[in-house]
Amino acid sequence: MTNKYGINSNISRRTALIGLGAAATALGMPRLANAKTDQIVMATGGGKLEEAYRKTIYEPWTAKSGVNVINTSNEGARLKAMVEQGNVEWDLIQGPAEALAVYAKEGLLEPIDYSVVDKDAMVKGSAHDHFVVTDLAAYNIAWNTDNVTGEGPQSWADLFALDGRVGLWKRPFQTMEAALLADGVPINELYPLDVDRAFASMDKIKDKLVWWEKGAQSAQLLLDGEIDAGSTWNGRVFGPKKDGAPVDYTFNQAVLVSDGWGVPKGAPNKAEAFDMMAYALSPEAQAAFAKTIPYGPVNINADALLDDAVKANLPTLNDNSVLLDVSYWADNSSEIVERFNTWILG
Amino acid sequence: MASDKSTGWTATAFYRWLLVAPLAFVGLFFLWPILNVILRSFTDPSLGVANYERVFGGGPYLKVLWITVETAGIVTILCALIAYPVAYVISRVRGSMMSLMMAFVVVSLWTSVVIRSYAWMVVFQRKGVLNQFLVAADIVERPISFLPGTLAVNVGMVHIMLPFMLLPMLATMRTIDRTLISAAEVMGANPFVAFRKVFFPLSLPGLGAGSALVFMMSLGFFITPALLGGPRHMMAAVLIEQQANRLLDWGLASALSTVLLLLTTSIYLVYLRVMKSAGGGFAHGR
Repeated sequence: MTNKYGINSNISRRTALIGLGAAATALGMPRLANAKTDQIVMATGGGKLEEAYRKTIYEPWTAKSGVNVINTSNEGARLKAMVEQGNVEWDLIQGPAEALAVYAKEGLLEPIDYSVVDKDAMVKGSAHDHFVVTDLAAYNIAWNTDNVTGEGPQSWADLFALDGRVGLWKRPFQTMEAALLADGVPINELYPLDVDRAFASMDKIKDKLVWWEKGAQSAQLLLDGEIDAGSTWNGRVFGPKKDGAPVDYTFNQAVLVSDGWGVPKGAPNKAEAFDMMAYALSPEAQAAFAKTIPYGPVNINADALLDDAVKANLPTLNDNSVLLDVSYWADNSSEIVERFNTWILG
Repeated sequence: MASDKSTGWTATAFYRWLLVAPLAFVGLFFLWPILNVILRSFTDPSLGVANYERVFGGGPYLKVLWITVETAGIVTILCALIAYPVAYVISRVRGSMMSLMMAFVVVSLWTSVVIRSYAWMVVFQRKGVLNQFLVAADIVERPISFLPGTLAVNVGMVHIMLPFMLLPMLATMRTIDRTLISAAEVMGANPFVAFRKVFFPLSLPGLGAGSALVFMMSLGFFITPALLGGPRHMMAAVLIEQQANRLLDWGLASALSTVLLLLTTSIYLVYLRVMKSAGGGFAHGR
């Protein structure tokens, strides 16, 4: 080393590198490329899901690999900005699968390295070119058991016919599917969506609809009896029902939705990212995850590691449920969201 | 000793230099990004005004912009009506009483907006405390559906915005020389006339500053109308967030932001004119 930075000239190369690394980090510059990393960054939506990831995926994986996982918030706009600027700080991103499909379409994600990730063990429709689906949750029917006596609405048609206040998510994804199912479209003939028919179906119940914006809000509306019944995500009502809250739900005609994982284009630690992705999709991690939070596994070998009591609470793909078509939504989101917002205001 | 005409160091020149750093900061981190947003609205995905054609050519956008301005306006007026008498009372007390009253105003700022919005949900819902009271007191027979509704949105937003109206008002009122009121009374004005002709005009800069602050902050409101309001309370920020974050259509998001920015700027210019003729506000800094 020369003395041109005003550093003591007999400073070791290693110390200088650490210093430079620290300076680079402080300035927000990319890490030195060939240094072995000791941590990766994953952007998630936070909350209970992130807690479950930490317990069932990050911690066991860190024990194996020696690489720590730190979390940050997963705004799509930041992903786009980082990729555009060529300054990507995230190694992995988690989000709703239909959002990941949009990111993939925009060219913001690396192709999945299926030499590391075991595609053959994954259920149909979960391994995509640029992202993987890591779990199966349900957008399903739930009701307040104080307000709704009897067995509760067992289909979307029952829900739409209910004499009472009905809650739905204020976004077209999933809600359009529910509206079509309520109008009698067979569950295996949903796609491509008949958008006009979906709006006509919702028109019929506009007066009793209460729109919710956030998952936590849907649960609160149901638990407090502010709405009598409505859609929710099963993870939001599973805990309260178990704890004795006046809420019940069914998986009949559930629209299965998923969390997707992807690697941002230009991620600094791609190898580690795919390694952790492969671990997250392994039977052990998938089973541990499903025991922690009631979202079903996408690895076909995980079922064997789960007992029936756990499996009863997990949404599954069967004749009476449908997997959200994320490719359809990646292609049609923009147009349908505009129509949906216009309809909602009208 | 430097003479007045010297080219050397003067206090004025020194103050000018002091401005360089903040101006550079604002330029780099505020003006430049905004210019980029405006530029993007004309270039993404292709050069032209296609994004503006979408904003102005049907769809939900104009209606949502109108709802946004309307909601912000109502909240501003309600805040002004409520905050003015409170600020007046607080400005008259001194010492520990004032600290206590100020604490009541400021303490609500310590809780996050999201939590406070959820708290209002709990108050207004069908089995909430308000409905329980109304039913128990035989004022209504069955619980009223406040949620989602205009009343809930306005109460929630006014609650959150009130401190931003109150603090500038209070700052102005505390600088008003009370002997002027006494002088007016000595000259034969009754308390009402003294208030209307002396105190109220002098307090206008605070009212103006508070109103501008609350109105502009309300334009960007997001979570409270989303949680407490129905479809009729869709705010521009919600649409911009959807486009920017979820659909990644930055061209349309930029066009919407630019229209909102233009709207805000023109309203601010109108405000400056009005305040100038009223003799106060930011235009006549004290």
